[in-house]
Parts: sequence; C-alpha cells; structure tokens
Amino acid sequence: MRSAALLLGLLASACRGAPDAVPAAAAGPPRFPHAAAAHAALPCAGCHAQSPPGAADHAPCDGCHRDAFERPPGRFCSVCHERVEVGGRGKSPVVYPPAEGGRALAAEFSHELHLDAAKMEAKVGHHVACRDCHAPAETERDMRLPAHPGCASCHERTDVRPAMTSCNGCHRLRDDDPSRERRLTGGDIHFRHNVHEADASGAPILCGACHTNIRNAQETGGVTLPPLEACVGCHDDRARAPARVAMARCEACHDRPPTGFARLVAPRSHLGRAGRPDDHTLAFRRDHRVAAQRDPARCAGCHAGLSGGQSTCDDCHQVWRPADHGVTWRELDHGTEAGMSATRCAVCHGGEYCAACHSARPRSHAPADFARAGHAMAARANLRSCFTCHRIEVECAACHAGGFVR
Amino acid sequence: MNAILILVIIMRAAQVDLALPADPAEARAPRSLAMRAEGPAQPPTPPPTQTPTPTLDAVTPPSPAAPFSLEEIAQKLVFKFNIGYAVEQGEPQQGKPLPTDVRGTRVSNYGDVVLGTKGLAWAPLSTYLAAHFFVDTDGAATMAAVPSVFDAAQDGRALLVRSAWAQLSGIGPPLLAPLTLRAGRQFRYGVAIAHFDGASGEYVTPLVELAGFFGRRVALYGAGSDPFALGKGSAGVVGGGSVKLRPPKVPLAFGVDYFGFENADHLVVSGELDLARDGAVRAWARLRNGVLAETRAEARARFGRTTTLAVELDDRLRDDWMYDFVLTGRLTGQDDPRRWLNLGPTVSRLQVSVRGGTVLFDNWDVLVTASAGIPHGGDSSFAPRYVELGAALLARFPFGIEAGVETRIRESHRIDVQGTTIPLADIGALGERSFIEGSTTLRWSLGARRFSAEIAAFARRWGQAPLGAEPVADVAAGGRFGVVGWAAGKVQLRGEYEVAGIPDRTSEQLTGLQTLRVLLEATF
Repeated sequence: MRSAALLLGLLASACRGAPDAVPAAAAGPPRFPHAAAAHAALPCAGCHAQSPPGAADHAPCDGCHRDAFERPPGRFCSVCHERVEVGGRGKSPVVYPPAEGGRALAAEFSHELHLDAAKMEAKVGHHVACRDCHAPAETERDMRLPAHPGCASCHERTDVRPAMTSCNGCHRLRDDDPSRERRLTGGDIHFRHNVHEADASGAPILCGACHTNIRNAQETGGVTLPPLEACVGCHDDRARAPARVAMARCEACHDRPPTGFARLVAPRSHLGRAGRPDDHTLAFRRDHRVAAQRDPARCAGCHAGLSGGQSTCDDCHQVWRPADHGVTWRELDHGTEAGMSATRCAVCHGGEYCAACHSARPRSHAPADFARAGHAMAARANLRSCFTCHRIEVECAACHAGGFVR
Repeated sequence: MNAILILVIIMRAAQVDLALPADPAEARAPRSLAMRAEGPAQPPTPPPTQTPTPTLDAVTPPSPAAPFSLEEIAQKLVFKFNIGYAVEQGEPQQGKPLPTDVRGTRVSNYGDVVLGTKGLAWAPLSTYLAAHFFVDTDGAATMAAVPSVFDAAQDGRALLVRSAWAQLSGIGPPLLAPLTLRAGRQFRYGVAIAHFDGASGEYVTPLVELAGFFGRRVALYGAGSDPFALGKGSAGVVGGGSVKLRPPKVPLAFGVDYFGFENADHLVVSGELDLARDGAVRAWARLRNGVLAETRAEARARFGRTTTLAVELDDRLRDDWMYDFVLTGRLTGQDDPRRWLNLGPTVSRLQVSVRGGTVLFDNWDVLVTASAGIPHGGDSSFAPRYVELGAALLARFPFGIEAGVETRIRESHRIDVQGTTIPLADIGALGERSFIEGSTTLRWSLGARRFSAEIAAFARRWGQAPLGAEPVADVAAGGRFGVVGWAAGKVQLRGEYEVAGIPDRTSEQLTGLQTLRVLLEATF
C-alpha cells in the first residue's frame, strides 16, 4: 500500500514537472532599478544577452557607469552587492625576498577557478574581476601583477584554501615558478594597457577580448600571448580604432617596422578578417572532404546554404560550378578532361547528362554542305572530335571506304 | 668562519628594504562584495554623473507565452533560392556569319530553390526539397553558339527536381534511436552516386553502421535517346546496402558496400584508418559481377595548420564500367545513351595523383600537384598515357587583397590503334599532345558575406597532332571579372563576366565566347 501511494506521489510529481520547470516571476520588485528612465530606454536584450548581467567585468553596465566602476567601492556598488566593506588588503604572513632577487609568480594559480563567478560567490561571497588583482596605478601604462596582500584579502580566512601560510599551495618552491620579470610582449613590439581600456567609440574593451584563453588557464604557465586575431578585430574596424593604428600601419605596434616588399607581404595573422581562415589554403580547397565530413557545422558558419546536416555536400556541389567550368569549358575543355579522368565528371554528372548534348547535332554541323565537303577542315583540325560520336567503320566508311581525300 | 659568514649575511639582510611599494589597488580592494538578494530597488547613490547612452542595438525579445517563437521556427527551417540571368554569346568569324539556324546569343533565366525543415511540425520529421529551373527566353530549342545541356529541352524550359524527401529519425524505443528512414527523391553516395525515387534507411551507432536503399533510378536528363524523356521510359531500378564496422578504441573502420543496377552488381570491400587533423587512409576494391574492376587507395594528412598532402592511386580495369554504372562497355542499340558518345573501349589504366600544399613565410600559399595516367594491359587512344604537373601560388596583402598565379602543364602520349578497316589508320595518335596554361587572379574582399571583386586572366597553348600535317600549336586567352555583394548576411548579388578567344583552327565559325551572369541568392 505504501508502495502504491509512493508511486502515485511520484506520478503526481512527474505530472507537475512541466509547469514547475518554468521559473516563476520574481515576487517583488527586482533589486535593479529597471524603471529608472535611463534603464527603461534600453532594450532588454542589451543587458540580458548574457547571464547574469555584470558577471563579466561588470559588462555591460560599465558602458554607461564606467566612472563609477573606476572609483573606489562605495554606495553605487550596493545596487547589486549586499555588503561593500571597503578595507585594505590582507596582511602578508611572509617576508618577501628583495625585488632584485627572483620574485616569482604563483605557478599553481588558476585563472579558470578565480574567474568562475559561481564558485567564487559560493566560497568568498563575491566574484573576482580582473582588476581586483590586476589594478593599474594611475600613472602606469600596464596592469600590475598581484602581490600577497591582494591574495590575503580572501586567503587569510581560515575557510579559504590554500592558507596564506602554505607557500607550496601556490608556489612550487625552488622549482619552476615563472618569473615576475617575464614579458609576453617582446621584440620590437610596444603595447600599453592604459590606452586599450576603451575603443574609439568609447566602448570598454574587456580583458577577455584579448586574453581569450585566460578563463581556461589552470596555472600561471598556461597564460599565453593574446592571439593576433584579437588585435585585428579592433584595429581593422574603423568604428573601433582610428586609421593611424590600423593593422596596415606596422609602426602602430612595431618599433622597427618592415619596409619595402616585406611590408607589403605581411603575415596572414596580421591581415584581418577580410581573408579566408588561415587553414583554407589552395590545397584545402581541393581536399576538404574529410574536414567537411568531420565538422560540417564549421563550414556552415560562413558558407551560405550549408545546412550542417546530411545535405551539406549537395548544398554546394549540386549548385555551384567548379572553378574550371568557365566559358570555354563546354566548347574546348571538357572532352579532354573527361578523357583524363571520367570519374571526376561522374561525381556530379550521370551518363545522360553527357548524352543530352551528344545526341544533338553540334553547331559545327550547321552549314548545309557539312555532310559533303564542308566537314573536311574541321576533320583535319581535330579528327578525334569526330569519333566522339561517329564510328569509322559505320559513318566514315560509308563514303571513305575507298580512300580518303587530302 | 661559518659563524662570521652567517653574521655578515644576517647584517646585510637587515639592511635590505623589505617594504613593498604602495599598492595602488589597496585602497579600493573590497573585503566583501556579496550579492544582494532580490528585493526592492535601491537607486544608486550618488547617481551616475554621466547621461546613459545606449550602445547596444535594439532587439525585440521573444514572447515567452508564444508556443513557437520566430527564432525557433527559423532554426527549424532552411529556405534558399537563387535566380539568375545569363547571356551567352559566340562571336562569329569576320565575314562569316553564323548559319541561319544557329543563334549567336542565348538569353536565359535560371535558378534553384531549396526548402528544408528539421522537426518543424514533429520533432523526428525532416523534409528537404531542392529543385533547379531553366528558361530560355527565346523559348525555342534551336542550336546556339554556346552549347548547353538545355538545348535539347523541347520548349527551352526545364524544371529539375533534384531532391524531394521526408525523413524520420529518433523514433520509437531507445534501441531504434539510431534509425533513420527516408522516402522520396534522393541521392545516395557509395559505390556510385545513385539518384533515385525510393526509400532508404540507416542505422548508425558508434560501432556499426547499416544502410540500405531501393528505388527507381532518376535520369534528370532523360533516359535512352530522348534527353528529356523523364517519365516516358524506364530508367532502371537501383538498390543496395552497406555494413560498416568501427571497432572500439581503434581508429579503424571496415565496410562492405553492395550496389545493384539492372543486370550488373557491384561489391566494394573497404578499410579506413582515421588520423588526427583531417588525416585518413582509405583503400577499397570493387568487383563488378564478381570480377575485380577497380582498386583504389588514398591517403590524406595535415601537418600543422596549413600543410596538407594527399596521395591517390586508382586502378580501373577493363571489366569496369565505361563512364558510370549506367554506361557499361556494351552498346545496347539505338536507345543507348552512348550512341553519340563514343568513349572507346574500356582499358585498364592506373591513375596516380599527388597534391601537396603549405603556407610559406606565413603568407605565401603554395600548391603543387602531379598526376599521371598509365594504361596497362592494352591501349586505347581514348584513354591516353599522360603526365600533368601543376603549381599555384597565392599571396595575401593588406586591405583584403589577394593575388595568385597558377600554371598547368600536361603531356599526352597517344597510341596508334591498328586494325581499322578503312585507310584512316593513324587516327589513334591524333589529338592533343601537350597543354600549357597560365593564369593570374586578383581578388579584393571586404570580408566574409560583405563584398568581394575578382579579376582573372588566362592564356593557353595546345600542341595538336592534326590529320595529314605536322604538329601545330593553338593559342587562346581570356579573362573573367566578377563581383559579389551581400546584404544583411542573407542576400547576395553576384555578377560575372567571362570572355575567351577560340583558336582559329578549332572553330570555323567562332572567334570567341563571352558570358554575362547575374545571380541573386537569398538564404533564410
């Protein structure tokens, strides 16, 4: 009996499952002042395209409230945050080695974990943004590397591991901790973080726009140089970067810009989005079958008409002509190519396709005297073309059995 | 001594300034930023000093109450059409007007329609329709200077339904989840590319793939002697099936593929090794009516991101079909489609092809190709021995400009065929002896789905062996100009103009050809 009741209860729960799956609307007014005039003028998707708004470096709120975010935390923060306790950083429990003596970064530091807003909020009560650790000085051009006091603001708590007193929780100790002196931007490249905080339109440039892999970096050594595609995305967009720093202006980044032909033939990675992907080489255009079979959705990302499904190949190959099927293909080229490899033709054309033309009288046979003397010149020029349709033993021999006239 | 040393070290250490420079972030580092619970709105204090400026485009949010949002429908629907306008023209020889029954210019409209659904009305149901149409504006099936497959259409019009099928997948219990059933007009790729009206099914799991199909063959360009006799004659019945096994934990696959058409059956046994980075090695053997007809092996590999290599070996034997599975080696009479398409006897020929490409200096895209046809076990002047070499170079420049050059060289060796019954004994050696082509292309693009323009030029030289004369060379050149413009990423307008000369000896009537094509295409 209890089993039956339990079963009924489960069934009833299951029946209620569908409506319950839809989240109910908030009972009271939201914490965010949606009704404020300035906010009401904004489209919903402008903020709610990402979830939750503000989780990624306070975007898109910082599009309008940038100054407020740049100031020390204050009452403005209380719009979203429960407590804003402005205080100093934690105390470092250790004595640092001198600055000249091999200060090291924490090799075991995981950007992936520290940028996980959900985990951080669950553990320490707030998410961590890039600038919480890498805040620049007003007069400095680049972001600062974090120091122990910054870490201690959370890790001095007893429930946050590793504890500040556990050196090897972050440092490999006499092992291969990366040096603080390393520079990812080397050679003749010059770069200033402080001029990359907003683009020419005034829109903020998020850290992740360039440091694309930072959210997946599980240790400090995994932090790599931002890809050039990230630079190109802005620097070849006139709305976001002025012409004087376009990708074509080598001196925008290089102290010793190339000259002459080397300047003209720049690396493909510098050439912007106008070109095809780097791996779409001439050879790839000939041999892309395996790649297309394994990831048809990637093709569909750019090539219109590709459904990414079972009809992917047909979408192109049943509609588009191959590049060599130009204006002379039908008149001059296709016969020879078919003789070289008929299997290539058969990929698209069945035998009837050929017969559709080859069963009709060709244009060269139009002159009234073609069947008599009129075909001599054409036959001398390319006798082989005659035998595409005619057989020596039948049509030719009917007149030429006794010899042929030169 | 050691004690003194330690003392010195301690004293020196005591002189070191261990104080850290002031951390500019210290003053604003929050100790706690716990998120507030949902509650009454609190206006920010102080209020923002800036006037908010919306920077994002307005987007209409979908109505949560609607059973189907437009976005959902759009994801389940594929609609594409293109409509084109073409002018093809042959330039007559000076002083030699074209015969009265030959049109110098053909004006036509053409296009494609594709309509597909994926789970629109019912989640397991997909449908797909693809059709092509052609309309000769003159409406008459008269001979034109530039030949076309549609010249044989009775009234200068054609509507070709390429695909029209409905498909069910993911139906029934979990055991049947990998099953897909399709009915209607469809293509089937396998031993041969079969186009048929019928039914097919697939059962695909990671370990095994089973497939089968059966139907009436579709001959869009007609069956028998009438090129557009669709529905008037039998196009034959095709059927087949395949089994593919993928052993677990190894990148190998083995398959058996059967294909039957009228009195011929074909059986393919294949093996495939999947490699990383788009690499694969495949080999197969095909038997036609139980006799070995073709063996083939191919290997493709990618090294790094931009270096690729492909090697193909294809050995077709005299027992293979002549052109495709429809055109076999035997002549079946007046209705045989090859009555006016004599491809000569089927001979054994090994074809080797190698293609390699890479990007040098981080910019110069290089492609090198080589191929050869090597007859064995007999000769046919229709399937000559040949060697072809090709190379292409493409460089990208700032501002979306690409420039490339390409060349191709081919040498053919044709064999005299003895035993003809009339005194035209040397014809086997006639025809193309050599071919050289050079071309150059300049392309300017503003980016994918925006705007691009391309101009290209080519020159060719044919070495011919004419009847009763020493070998001669014919030369021709031509060019192409095209533009593609996009609107909203969905609609494109293409325009293309091509012009080419024809060697005087090749055509007594024309000196050149030119075409103009304008195509409007939309995809939703």
